[in-house]
Parts: sequence; C-alpha cells; structure tokens
Amino acid sequence: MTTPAAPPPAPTDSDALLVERAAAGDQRAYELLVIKYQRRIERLIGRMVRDVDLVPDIAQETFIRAWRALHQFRGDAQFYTWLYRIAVNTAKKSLMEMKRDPIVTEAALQSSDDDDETSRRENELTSESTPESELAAREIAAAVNAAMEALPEDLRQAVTLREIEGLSYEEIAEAMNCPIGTVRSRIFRAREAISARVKPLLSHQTGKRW
Amino acid sequence: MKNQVQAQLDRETLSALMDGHLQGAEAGKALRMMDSAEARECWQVYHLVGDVLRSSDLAACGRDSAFVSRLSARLAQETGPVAVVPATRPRDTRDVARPAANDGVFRWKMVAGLASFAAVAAIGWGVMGGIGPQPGMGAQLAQGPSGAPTQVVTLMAAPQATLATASEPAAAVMLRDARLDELLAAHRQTAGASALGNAAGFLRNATFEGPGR
Repeated sequence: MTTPAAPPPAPTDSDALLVERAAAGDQRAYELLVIKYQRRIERLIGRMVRDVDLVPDIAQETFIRAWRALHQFRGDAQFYTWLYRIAVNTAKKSLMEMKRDPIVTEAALQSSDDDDETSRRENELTSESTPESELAAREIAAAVNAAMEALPEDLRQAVTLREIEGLSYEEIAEAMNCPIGTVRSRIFRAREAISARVKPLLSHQTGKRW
Repeated sequence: MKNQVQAQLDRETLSALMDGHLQGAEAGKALRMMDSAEARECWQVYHLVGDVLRSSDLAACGRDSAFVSRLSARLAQETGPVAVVPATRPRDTRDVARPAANDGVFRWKMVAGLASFAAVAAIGWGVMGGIGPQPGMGAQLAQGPSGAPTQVVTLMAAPQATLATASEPAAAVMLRDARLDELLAAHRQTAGASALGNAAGFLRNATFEGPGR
C-alpha cells in the first residue's frame, strides 16, 4: 500500500509554528522538530557515510548546529531544506576530518531524495543495517501497510491525500466533498488505527534501539 | 471514561497540530500538551507512520530511542539560538587572517589601476611640458614681487625687451594677473601671434595713471 514516489509533506504543516517557538528558545518545540526529521536526516547521512557508528553522531551534530543557527533561519525556504544543507555540510566536514570521501555525491543524494523506488533500492541505507534492524524495519513497514489495507475507504483516502499527496485540510475537504472538521477527524482516526498496529512492534523491540 | 475521551481529544488536537491546522491559543495549548510523555510518544509514532507511508525504508531509520534524550542533554548545555546573536559576537581573528579566495584578483586590479594612472600622469606631464614657454622664444613680460597677484609691466615696442618692474612706474603700464600667464601659456597653440611673440590675442590692455598725470 506504500506509494513509492511520495512528495514530502506540504508547507501546511507545523514547522513554521515550531521553528518560531524554537527560535525564541523553546527547547521542547525544537525537540518536536528533531523527532519529526530524525529519520530523514539519518537516512541522508547514512547515504553519505554508510557507517553504522557515524550516523547518529553526525545527526546529533547536525541538530546541534541547527539549534545554534536557528536565529539565521528566515523562513524563505522550508525548514527541512535548511536542515538538509546543514546535515550535508556536517557529514562532509566529518568525512574530511577523517580523511574520507563521501560514498554518495551530493547530486546523487538530491536525485535519490525523491524516494524513487529504483533509486531507493540502489541507495539502500546500510547504516544500522544489522539483520535484526532490517527485520524490525520490515515488520514496521508491513504493519503500516496492513493497517492501511484494513482502513475504511474514507479514512484511507483522507490519510493518503494528507500524508502521501501532501494536500491541506481544505484541499482534502474539497476533494472528498466533506467539511474540514470531518477531514480532521478522519485523518486522526486513520493515524490512530495505524499507530495501534505499530506501537506493539516498537515496545517489543528491546535494547538500545526502541 | 472521561479521561479516555479527553485523551482522545488531545490526540486529535495533536494530529491537527502535526498538519499545521492549529493557530493561536489552540496551538499553544497543543504545545503545552507535549510536556507529557504520552503526547510525545504519540507525536513520534504519528510521524513514523507518515514517514513509512511515504517511504518504507524510513522505517529502518531513527530507531535509537535515546537519540532525543541525548540531544536534549546537549541542548541544555547550549546557550540557545537567541543568545547567539552575531551582533555582539567578537570578530573571529581567524577570519581576518585568512585570505579570501579572490584576493589575488583584487591585488592585480589595484596594480593595473595604479599603473594606468601613472601612465596617464606621465603622458600629461610630457604634453604640458612640450607646450610650455620655450627658452628664447618669447619675452619675459614682467618681474615683480614673488607671489604678487598683479604685475605691472611696461609696454615696450621691442618683443625681446625685458620689461620694467612695478617699482618703476612708466608712462604706460599694463596690469596683468599672474594666472593669466598660465592660461595664455596653455592656449598658446590656438592663440594668434602678436608683437609680444606670445598669445597677444588674449591680452587685455590697461593703462595706469601715474601720479604725474
């Protein structure tokens, strides 16, 4: 059920509010941004360095640098675009300090960041790729897909338009010919249903990682 | 039961916050909810679901549950984004010492500019020197106190004569500004020839009435 080529979430998200709060010194707000983008940043860094041990450290450094420079973010671009640049530069700097070259060029990163299915297979993340983690990731993906299959049509359509197509509530309401309040409720219920299948997998994965 | 309903409402609010559909006080309330561990876990799982829906390989990333807590500890040691305003930051001396990549270009441009200026000045000096008064070609018209703006000279018939000084008033004298000589010298080529052998066409004659008149 997972759609292969999916654009990132639309600008109508919580970033602007959270960035504004974080820039004012609200660390909680910044942590919400970190939770939101941690996976994408780690995948990006993993494609550059392909080293299990380096990825979390470089990701940490990326978020620290972004926190320090947050007052420079003007909001002209999306927050993730700005964060992406910091992550790439941090990874390059780390590799230079270790006298290593990036495994994947930046141009290749940009082309593969569209989440195209083919390029994803070619650039499959090898950081953190232990057999256990591979299995856990596959289980999570399978649970999400199974939960999507089991959703009622109206919930599936609403969450697909939001998460995969990146439409705003207003656009979804127009597409589904229903009030915005209904859209909000359907998306929430879909998330709840999928989360109910995913949460047991997260809690059962003991040890350092989840 | 009431708590369950309230928790569900809170999660729905959180879901709307994720999508940027909350503003003002409602958004502030939702952010305050994030202080609870349940709300943060909900935020994490909702985003995980969204990421996996968009790209299944993201399920393999960000599985270090201690990542955010470690980062929070480091952030707590930082001064924060607001305190690091560059206006009060002292200038880094390494930036001053480090040459810019295009410094060489600027140096060459400066050298070329100075050379051009020097060449123009040399040519101008030569041209001005060439059109100046040549030895033996004209008469010295007057001689007076150094720096005097006005010279009183005696008008003589002979072009080669050296004229009188101001201390020797003659019957007919000519008052001339010293700057006029410079002007005449500069326009010598375009001026007509005269009995003075110089640019007489620009001369202004004046009489001086001495005390004998």
